[in-house]
Amino acid sequence: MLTRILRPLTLSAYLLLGLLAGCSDQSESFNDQLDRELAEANPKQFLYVASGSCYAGGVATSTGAFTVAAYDLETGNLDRLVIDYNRIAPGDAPIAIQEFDAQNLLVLVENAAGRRIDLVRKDGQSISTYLVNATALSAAMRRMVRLPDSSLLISKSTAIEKISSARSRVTQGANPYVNAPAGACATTATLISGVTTLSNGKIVYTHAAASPNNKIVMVSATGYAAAPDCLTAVAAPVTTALPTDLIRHSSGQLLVSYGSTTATSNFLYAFDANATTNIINNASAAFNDNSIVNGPSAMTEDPLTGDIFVANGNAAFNNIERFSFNPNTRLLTRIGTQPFVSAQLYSRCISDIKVISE
Amino acid sequence: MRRKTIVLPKLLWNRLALFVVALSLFSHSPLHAQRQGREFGVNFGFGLGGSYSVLKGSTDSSSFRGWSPGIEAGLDLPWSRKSGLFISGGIRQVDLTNTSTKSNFVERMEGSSKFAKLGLFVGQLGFGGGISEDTFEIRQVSAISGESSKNIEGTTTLMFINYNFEIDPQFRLTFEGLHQSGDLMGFGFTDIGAMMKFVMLFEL
Repeated sequence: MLTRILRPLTLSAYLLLGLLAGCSDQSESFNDQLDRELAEANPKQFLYVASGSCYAGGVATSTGAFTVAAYDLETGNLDRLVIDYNRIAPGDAPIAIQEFDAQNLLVLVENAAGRRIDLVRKDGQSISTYLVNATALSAAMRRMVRLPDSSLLISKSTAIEKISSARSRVTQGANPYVNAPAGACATTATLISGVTTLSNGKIVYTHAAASPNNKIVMVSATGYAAAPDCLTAVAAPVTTALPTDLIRHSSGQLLVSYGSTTATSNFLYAFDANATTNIINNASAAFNDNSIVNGPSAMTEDPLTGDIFVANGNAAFNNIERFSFNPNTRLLTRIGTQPFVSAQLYSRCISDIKVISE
Repeated sequence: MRRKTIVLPKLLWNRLALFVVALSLFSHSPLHAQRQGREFGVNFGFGLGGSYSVLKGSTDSSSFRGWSPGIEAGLDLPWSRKSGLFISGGIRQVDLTNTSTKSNFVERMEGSSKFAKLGLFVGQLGFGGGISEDTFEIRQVSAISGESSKNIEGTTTLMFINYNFEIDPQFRLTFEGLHQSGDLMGFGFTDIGAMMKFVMLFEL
């Protein structure tokens, strides 16, 4: 009886151990496998830099390189030139960039002879025209914001146009989406230098013109149709400061860059923005060392770290600085003792910067 | 600090298997078949086994093979001489090597599984399930990427079946087969193992 039980048992044990000893398969390295999966889940991020025609608050700027380049987000070293517009059409100046999908960028191109939005592969291997609309893109391009529904808000200096995800122009009446707002929002139809949206879609933009029109303006998420759509307007901290860009930080605060020919009016400010009550207040100087920030022409946030990148368009700078932001103290702290990207060909007159995956 | 990698040749596994066979036959000699059934009591055992683990990602999988010694303490709760429940807990060390036949890297998986088991025994046969807290470090030396180390951990479930030989009223020899599976930080983890344990019995 015992033998009848033992025989299959010992045979099973022998077979199992033999199985363990003999298992041989196409096993991959786990560490390499994990690295691959992490890379797929979290593709490497780069700082994409458009060098075109920039606005830096009136300070002298260089002629742009008319390129889009990608910089390593950790080292600040140039990774690759994505596209060189000098080889495409004379006068093409990349003004703004947005991620379109995992493989492509949207690039807003300023050229009085052919303004358009291009679809550019991140590896630079192909370029095609995404949008041409002579009515919507009728004046000097400044900014482009991509909304959650894949529509676009585009500043053309004098107004803000909206382009639907179906690539058609969205108007207010017969006008641009935000056009010549009245009341406290007037007069902001000369140089709309920065555009962003709040959590509920309300549009906030900066306008750069002589005081009192150097201001931050909030309008309805549905654009501007009539006076009630002007929700609030906030003057610049000083009359000589001209807002050049703004971003909504992940903390919820607005960060606004100011440039000026008055050296001490070059700085970065933090504001609270209440999307429900339509109040923009608590202005505080987040960084005001004009030997570091001078003629800022573009800003962006690294969504992973919350760090802020600021491009200096001043011809004597032409670099990019990196800052950490403390939402409690509302202060920006420069990271390192040297610019994140030092002055070089592709950092001349930076018109836009964005942190985008590879 | 660099550690020495243990690679078991097949011959050694075969010898181990023969040892298991011999020991199991020995344990059932009339001299040692003294007791019929289990008593209410605690036990403490230690043993050595082999383990084959697979970590499966979204596209590829990595398999490891090697030793897994362990210790275990438990409580027998018989409702008759032939059947009852038992609970136990313990820790199993693993020291496994990637089974890849590629020559451009060597990878070693080390760590431990702390487990709790609940089972049923009927005669000499026992079976049941449990949970395991697993923590592994996987170190690699690659001809391409150099040295690297990854840590992976999580909770998995296990099933086991064992066969017990009473050597003496105070000792028991257990052969156990184990299947463990679950998710370790997004990777599907499967382990099959076999272990021989020497168990000391203390009646209460």
